[in-house]
Amino acid sequence: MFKRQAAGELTVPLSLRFGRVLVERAGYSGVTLSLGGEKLCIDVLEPRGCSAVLYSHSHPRHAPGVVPREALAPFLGSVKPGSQVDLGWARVEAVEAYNPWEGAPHPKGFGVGFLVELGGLRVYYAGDTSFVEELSSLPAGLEVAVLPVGGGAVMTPEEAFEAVRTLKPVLTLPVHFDDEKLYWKFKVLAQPYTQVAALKVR
Amino acid sequence: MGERIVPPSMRWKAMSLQEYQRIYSESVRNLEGFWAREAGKLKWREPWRSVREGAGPASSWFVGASLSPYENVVSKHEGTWVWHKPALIWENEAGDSRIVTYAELDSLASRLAAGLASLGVGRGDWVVVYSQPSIESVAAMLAAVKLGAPFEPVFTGFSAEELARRLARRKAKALVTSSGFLRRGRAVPLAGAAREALSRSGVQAHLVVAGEGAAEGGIALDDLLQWGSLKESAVVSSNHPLFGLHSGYEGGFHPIAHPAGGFLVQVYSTSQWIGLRPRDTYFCTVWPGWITGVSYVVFGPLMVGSTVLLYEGGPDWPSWNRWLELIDSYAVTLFLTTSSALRMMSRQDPSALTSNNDTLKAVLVTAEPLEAEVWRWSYERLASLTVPVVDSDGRRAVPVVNLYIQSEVGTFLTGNLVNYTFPPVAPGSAGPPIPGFHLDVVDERGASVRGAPGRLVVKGSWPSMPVEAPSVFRERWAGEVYDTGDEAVMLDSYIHPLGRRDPVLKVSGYRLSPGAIERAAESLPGVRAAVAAGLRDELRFEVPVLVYEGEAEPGEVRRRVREAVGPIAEPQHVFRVSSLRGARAELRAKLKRLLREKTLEEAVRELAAGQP
Repeated sequence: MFKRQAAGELTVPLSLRFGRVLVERAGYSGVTLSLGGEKLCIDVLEPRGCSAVLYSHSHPRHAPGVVPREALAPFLGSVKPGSQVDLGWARVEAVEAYNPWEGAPHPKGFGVGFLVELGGLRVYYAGDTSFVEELSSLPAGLEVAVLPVGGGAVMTPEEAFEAVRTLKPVLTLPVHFDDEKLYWKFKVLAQPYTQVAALKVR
Repeated sequence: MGERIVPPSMRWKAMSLQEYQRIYSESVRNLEGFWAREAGKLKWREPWRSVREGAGPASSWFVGASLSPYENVVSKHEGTWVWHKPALIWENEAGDSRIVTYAELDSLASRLAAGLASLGVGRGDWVVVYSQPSIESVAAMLAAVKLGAPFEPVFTGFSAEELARRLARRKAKALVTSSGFLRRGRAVPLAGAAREALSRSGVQAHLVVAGEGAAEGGIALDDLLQWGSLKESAVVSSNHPLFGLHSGYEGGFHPIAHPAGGFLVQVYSTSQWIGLRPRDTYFCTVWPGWITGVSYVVFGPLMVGSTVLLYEGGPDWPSWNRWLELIDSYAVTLFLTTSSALRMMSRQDPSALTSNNDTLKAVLVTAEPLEAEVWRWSYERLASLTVPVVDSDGRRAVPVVNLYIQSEVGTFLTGNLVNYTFPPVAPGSAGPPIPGFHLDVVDERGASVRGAPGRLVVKGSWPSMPVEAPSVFRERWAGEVYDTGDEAVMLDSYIHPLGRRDPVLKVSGYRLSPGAIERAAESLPGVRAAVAAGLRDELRFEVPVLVYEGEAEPGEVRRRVREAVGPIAEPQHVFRVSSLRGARAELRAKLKRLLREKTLEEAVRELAAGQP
């Protein structure tokens, strides 16, 4: 039986360059997208050196207690599904992210996902969402999808796999899971349809 | 009959030995017809007027045909879904990674081709690549292909002196290298060795350096990208040299070159047969510089449209779990490595191997015999997928397949084939011969032997017959029969390689020349004569042993070999004797025999005692 990685050992990869964009993970679900001297931070709890900061929703593993005033976040009222923001070096569109059942931790309208275009790449950051019907209207064949795979209040590995089948991203970065077995399940399902890369938190 | 195993994942695809034998016999009954059918999978600009002309080492395949090698490797994917999928994933020891799609790889290779052309590199000029595996080094090789310029990758474990010899023999027009890379946590600078090699070689070649601080004494690879993009890819005759290597023979390393047409036919078919499909993510731990790394990193997987993972770094840093971690991180589906690496991994503390490999559909092994016990370890630990994934049905097992390859043949020529002929696996063997290669094991008179050691031979030529080869290669032929120089046992169609029959060494899967090691030692003023041979080693298959006569200290001799040939050739054991006289070939053969039959010390004593 294989054991899980002992704490403190080097786990890889830590950063990934695709075209001109450098992708890194930050925390439980956050990512940063760097292009030239600009850095876009999504769901980063300690946003340092960021040119722009996005938050998908206000839960503590996604947003700090005090957020930068200029951040784009649904709970600040600065974005809602359908909003488009042109940063000059990147274009951001907020998209739906929710759980489609009553009493859900992420009801419709509570949070968003983001579709980001920068450096010739289209990156879909799903946020905390189930596999919802609005995913079908996102552009298929985008370059990068950052998908939660942890189940519960976000996609299960099977739902994330459905998202991969729908979106056909070139590259998929799984995030938002506690048990590594959930990643293993996801990668076994998804690998023929996308290139999976398990970026680790630096 | 030994153990025969059908891994559960292959239960629907495996065939009986009789079915295999029928397919195989048909293929070798009409080799020309068989390979002509396979050649139909390539894109040809002009058809061949004859499948094969000439005999034995003078055979030439697909005569009169022409093709664009670059089109067959890269641009054939344009307009298909493959074009926008990852072609290469690269990662280094620090955990930095990078992905390029086929479209991006094409763009990089085409710009590099334009840059090399601006330096005067053209059709037929040799480009030497001395680099760790990287996106730029693969692109440089493909750029040469696009120009119709043959290339030679040189393993970074070879010294500046060895690199200089290769540059001089090829009369290279360009040397592509990198500033360096991290290995086992330490920087390995390459550009300095490349500069030294260039000045030693006496060749007026352009030095192109990838990476930071690149420009000193050379041209930065990034600057070469500013010359636009070469649109047209060279169309060459079937027998135009595509790439070359220096292969280890008894007397030294000698250059060989493979033909564009026959090689691409062989490598495309065998790549599909070993299991590669466009949706595979494939990790080969053998670096370009060795035949497996050229055939099954640079050419075959890209022709198929698979995604190739390149790792620049040591296999055991920070632990032997590193490769498994890569398999886990990128959901690798096919893993190709060497027997030596598996032997090393099998000796590690099992708790140190932590990753989950359950995307693997096969583990492929190359370069040397894979003992049954190491096969079993690999099958149980790497291929049995014992981690219960959520909802999984528990234990599954995928094949561990050992394959036999030789630089002169260019591709694998024995092994169970995941996507073709797959009889039950015989642990300890390198599988049965691959269809299209007529193999036999024969005694000294040429009569077939079964169940006992003999000479492993190939009857009839193969499409990738070297278009450049040393005289020792031609001397290995008796009519239409080629002696591989390897010893093997053949039983029930399965080949069990035993190692080299001649004094050539196999060290961690690398074929090393005893002559090159001896010459390096003798270049030291305090060494009058030296002889080298391989000693069987539990982990590395063989390690070099050097016996010399002279006043030099053993440590000096060891250092000199390391400096002159490279770290991979450094003798594990060095002995000084009072006298070493006699014909070199006889001394080598005697030392090799004594090392097999006696303890190390007894062997050296007896070699010395036999001296006049």
